[in-house]
Amino acid sequence: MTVRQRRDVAAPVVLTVFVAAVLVPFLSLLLASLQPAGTPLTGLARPDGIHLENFVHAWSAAGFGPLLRSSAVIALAVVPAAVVCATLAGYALATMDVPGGGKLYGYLLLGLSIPTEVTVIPLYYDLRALGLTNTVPGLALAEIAAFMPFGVFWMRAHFATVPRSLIEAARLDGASSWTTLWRVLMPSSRPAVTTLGVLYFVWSWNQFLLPLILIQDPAKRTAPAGLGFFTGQYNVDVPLLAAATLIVIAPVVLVYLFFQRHFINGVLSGALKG
Amino acid sequence: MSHVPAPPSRRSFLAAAAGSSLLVACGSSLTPGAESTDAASASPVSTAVPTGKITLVVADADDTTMTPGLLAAFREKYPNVTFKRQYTGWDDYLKSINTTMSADSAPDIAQFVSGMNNLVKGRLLLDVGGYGKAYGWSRRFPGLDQITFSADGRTAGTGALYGVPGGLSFEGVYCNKAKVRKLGLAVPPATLAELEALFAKAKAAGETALVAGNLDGGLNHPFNVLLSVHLKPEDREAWAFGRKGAKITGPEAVTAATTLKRWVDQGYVTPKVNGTSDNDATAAFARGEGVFRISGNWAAAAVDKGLGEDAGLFNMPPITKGGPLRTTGAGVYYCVSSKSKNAAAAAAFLDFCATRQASAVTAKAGFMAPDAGAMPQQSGLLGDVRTGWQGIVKDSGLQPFIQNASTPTMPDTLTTQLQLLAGGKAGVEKFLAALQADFDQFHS
Repeated sequence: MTVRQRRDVAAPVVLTVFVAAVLVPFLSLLLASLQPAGTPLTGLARPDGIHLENFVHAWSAAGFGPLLRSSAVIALAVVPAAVVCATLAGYALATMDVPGGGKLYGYLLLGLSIPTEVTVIPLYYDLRALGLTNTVPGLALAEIAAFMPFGVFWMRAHFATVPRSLIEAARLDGASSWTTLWRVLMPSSRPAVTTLGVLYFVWSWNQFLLPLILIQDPAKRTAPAGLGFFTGQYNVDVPLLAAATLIVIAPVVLVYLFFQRHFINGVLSGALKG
Repeated sequence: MSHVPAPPSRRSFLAAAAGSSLLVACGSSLTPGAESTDAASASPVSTAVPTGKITLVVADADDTTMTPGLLAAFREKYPNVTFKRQYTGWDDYLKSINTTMSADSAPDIAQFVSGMNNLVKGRLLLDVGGYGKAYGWSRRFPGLDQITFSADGRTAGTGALYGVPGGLSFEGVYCNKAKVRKLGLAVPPATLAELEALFAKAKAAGETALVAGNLDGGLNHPFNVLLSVHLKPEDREAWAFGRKGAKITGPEAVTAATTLKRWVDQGYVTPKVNGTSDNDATAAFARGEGVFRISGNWAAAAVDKGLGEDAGLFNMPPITKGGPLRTTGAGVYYCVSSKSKNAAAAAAFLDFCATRQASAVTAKAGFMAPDAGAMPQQSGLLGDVRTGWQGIVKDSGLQPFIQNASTPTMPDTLTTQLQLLAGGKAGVEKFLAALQADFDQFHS
């Protein structure tokens, strides 16, 4: 068997394994959501009839209307602000001689290694002193800050790959730092920015611990907090929990599918220009 | 204060974190509400239910019909009181309730869970002792010692009263009556030794005598009950409530642990007990596997559904014939925030939990009513449960789970050690010494 033949066999096998690894748990979730509510379940099982009313029950029991709305409001507040801040910081750290920039960058990277569980309780007391607990701005600010280390890392790495000559040429033509960023660098940065935006959206949407601790009124929390509704002290209603999970992840999947095409377009156009 | 020792792993960290940073912060300027609490507890106590329009916010993690039912029944009696209920799932409630109670927007009434005793030191819970005296709660509620705490919140059973139970739970011995008849076993046994003899007979007939699951530490049910039977009540309580200097290494505790180990070694207990979850053990028993199961009344609905007419329950027998009945149990307790502006109305709701109207709601939700005599008559398994509960209340035999209030890490320690004991990796002495080490570390 030649190397080429081996590769022809190996590629589909590896891909199939990965596709199965993604699809089988999802299939299990889908099947579980169609079982009669309250059925104790373990593993894959053929549904006992198709119970689409689970979705209606799950929606009304946990009150997903307001929860999804507050998730959307928070994502809308967090994603643009976080992307702008990360882009500006990344641009500065990659292309300018910021005094103490190296140390500042190291400090930001430190934030990547600290888990939320460590910071959430002190954060709660800080925000309470400022009167920002139980509010959307308080939660949004905390999330923007929590997402900053990765965003700065990501955008700095992106701007560092841009040829220095491009920036110097823009300077020679009399462009200010702002013009260089917005008119010269940003058009070719769409894939990086879109990817960061989608990642931020997914993180913000799925954020669970911060809303749980920083928002005291259960009705004002975010969509993932609604999943706890089906986990009681003694019983877990697996079919309703599965239906609720599908409700919560649906917007994430839609956003991802929509931007998936933009990724590819962005990457291709960038490749042609470069 | 869960009925069942709640799955401890995820919550322990956050509860501890929430509690400790709470204590740290309470001395500082970051606690704007802390000064107002003296005024709240010093306000005059009255048993008159306030008139005028009142809204009480209630936070709970009770996924049964009890809490909503009690709120509705109270509102029917006092239409001027409106409730705003904030339900949170159990795991999420354990993580978030301490910070929720420390917020300025704290709920008026909250379901009490383990870890909330950390709020006592910060004076975030209202000392309801004054209301208790005025209403006469000590005569009307069993199990108040489980929600009585010292000023630092580290020791239960002594100090000030912080709430009352809405519904209680207790451990008993379930039996499969069809199998009991088939094997010719005489139930209920009069002594613990007789119960063990029944186990031996069932085992000899090729049955699983005692259905149990220890994957999440479910053997703590028989162990807690064995401790209730063997230990002097004051010794058992001293340890369960975290009193300084208490020991679980004495001869009675050794007997209790040895008994449990013998049951495992003799093959009375479900094979592969360490690989079976407590819930799956209940499900297996309800499907008709095995003969006996030691668990709480919370499993009654599932067992009744599965076994129907063949389901039965009796109280854990004492060591000597005719001795007082003792068992382990807990309940759903309600406490009041020290920040509540309507403490008198909240106390009226607490008092309502001991009334006849409340008993019907509580019993329907599967809990034991504080007023045992007022629980409605029921047939079959639920009738057995009611009879069992009345026996326990008559003998004042309800004792706390040893892992709920002794130390914050005890649920994890007990689970680990029970698995080592059942797996044959630790002997009785080493098992008890490990529990005592956890205790001594916290209460040193």
